Amino acid sequence: MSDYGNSAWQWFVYGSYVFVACVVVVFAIYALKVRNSSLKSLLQEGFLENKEDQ
Amino acid sequence: MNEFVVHSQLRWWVRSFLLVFKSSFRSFWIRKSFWFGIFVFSVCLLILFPFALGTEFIQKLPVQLGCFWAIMEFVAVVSLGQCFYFEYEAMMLDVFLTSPMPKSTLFIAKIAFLTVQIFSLSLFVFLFWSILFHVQAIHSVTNLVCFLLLTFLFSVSSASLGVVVHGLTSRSLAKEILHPILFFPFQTGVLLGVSSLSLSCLGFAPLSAVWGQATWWTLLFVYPTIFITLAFLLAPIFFEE
Amino acid sequence: MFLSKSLFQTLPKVVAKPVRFWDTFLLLSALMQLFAWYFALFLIGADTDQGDVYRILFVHVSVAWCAFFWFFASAFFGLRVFFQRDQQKAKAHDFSSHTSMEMALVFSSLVLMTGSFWGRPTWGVWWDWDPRLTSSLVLFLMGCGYLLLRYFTPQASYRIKISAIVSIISSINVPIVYYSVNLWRSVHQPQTFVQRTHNASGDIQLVLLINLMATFLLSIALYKVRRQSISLQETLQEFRGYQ
Repeated sequence: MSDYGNSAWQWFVYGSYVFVACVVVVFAIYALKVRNSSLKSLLQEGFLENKEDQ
Repeated sequence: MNEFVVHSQLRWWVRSFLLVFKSSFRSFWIRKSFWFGIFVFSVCLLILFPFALGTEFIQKLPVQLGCFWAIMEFVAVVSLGQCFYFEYEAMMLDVFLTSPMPKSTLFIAKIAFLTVQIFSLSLFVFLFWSILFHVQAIHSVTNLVCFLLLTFLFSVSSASLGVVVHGLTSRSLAKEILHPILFFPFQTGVLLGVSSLSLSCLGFAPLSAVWGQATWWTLLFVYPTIFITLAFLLAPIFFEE
Repeated sequence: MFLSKSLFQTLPKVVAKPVRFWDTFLLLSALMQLFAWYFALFLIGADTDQGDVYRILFVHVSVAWCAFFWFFASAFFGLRVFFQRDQQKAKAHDFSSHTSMEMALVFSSLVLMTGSFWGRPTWGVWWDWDPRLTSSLVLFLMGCGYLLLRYFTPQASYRIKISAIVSIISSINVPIVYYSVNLWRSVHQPQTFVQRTHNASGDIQLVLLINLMATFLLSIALYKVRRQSISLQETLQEFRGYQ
């Protein structure tokens, strides 16, 4: 029991949370980048010009 | 009148099925070396496994059964790799696809033929396996019948799954990558089932099972049913222009 | 990373509004997740048996439930593809199915990794051929197969249908994964919230539920953003094809 209470295992647990956070952040950044670049291209190429404002 | 239409459609379907089934056999008969090639390959594996595992280790029944099913997996994969090869080579596939025969007959007949091919190979593999591995656990007719039933279910499950995977990847670019990555995950259930049940068949309870045989037998009967039904329903989608 | 002010102002409102809404939702759900993790790491005490290592379970169980949900969502949208006669709507359902499967793949890979992180100190191994782990790996491989099949099938109308078929077949494995601890003798612990197992104390269950909700909301936000990106990418490609 005391084996799991030492600081090494604590850092191991924090590291696993950081790892999960990194994966989620990388996926979010990728999705946002693709979306924004597609939006920019659509705007520049005139696809969104005739869309009516609501 | 409706009964007559249904009856004639059924007859047409059966005739188309028999045509494809017979043509597969004819193609196979012309190229018998394909069947013998797989047989020789499996015998080589039967010889190599004791070298790799050690002769003491292969005396244990779970190891013997594991080797048998691993070799059967190789046999199924190599057989399925040449699924429509003969028809494609003889340009009969175009004839079948452009003819008015129901497209589902092509898949169902292929499943039937591949089942026969894999099962026929399994009989010879079983014979050589029981001799080379000194398998002593099969000592009654009941054991033998149970074991052969398992190999038949394995054959029909692998054939039905393999043909559906072929259909899914027929218009894809990298079939060599897609075939294993789609085939093996779906095949794991069958493999686990047959290896677990073969131990039970021979009177040994596998450690990993709580419910034992009932769940696995159900899985082994449900698997080919699902994939044969899928092949039947999805054939028009796979072969649409 | 988020939409810049200048770009946002030039976009028509019909496009800008949902984009801004889901960006905000993503930020809020990320903050909620951080709070939930704070509870899990610092506010709740250590376990009597596992010490601090058990805290990994707050992440592991949450991402597992999300993975199951997105596999089912992908199959649901795949079914809608088949029952939809309108080609444009079928395409929309296909985008949703594709996005759901990507989410399922991300979360199932996190399940496998966090499970390894937890398994190393408690079971002594990074990996075991346990029924739950094996069936989870099979589920992950099915998701990979789905994405590879999509990538290597150029014909759009055919790709939509076969992707739907694979997503429906893959979802059959989800109940097998969930019930594998009951069906076979497993080293993996039984389900946490089932009445007769009573695997966790009240405070742990509460923090676990908070983490579950936070991760689920975050996954929905990620789904919507990714769905937008896929939809816009496809629209752009189609638009360029007609020029």
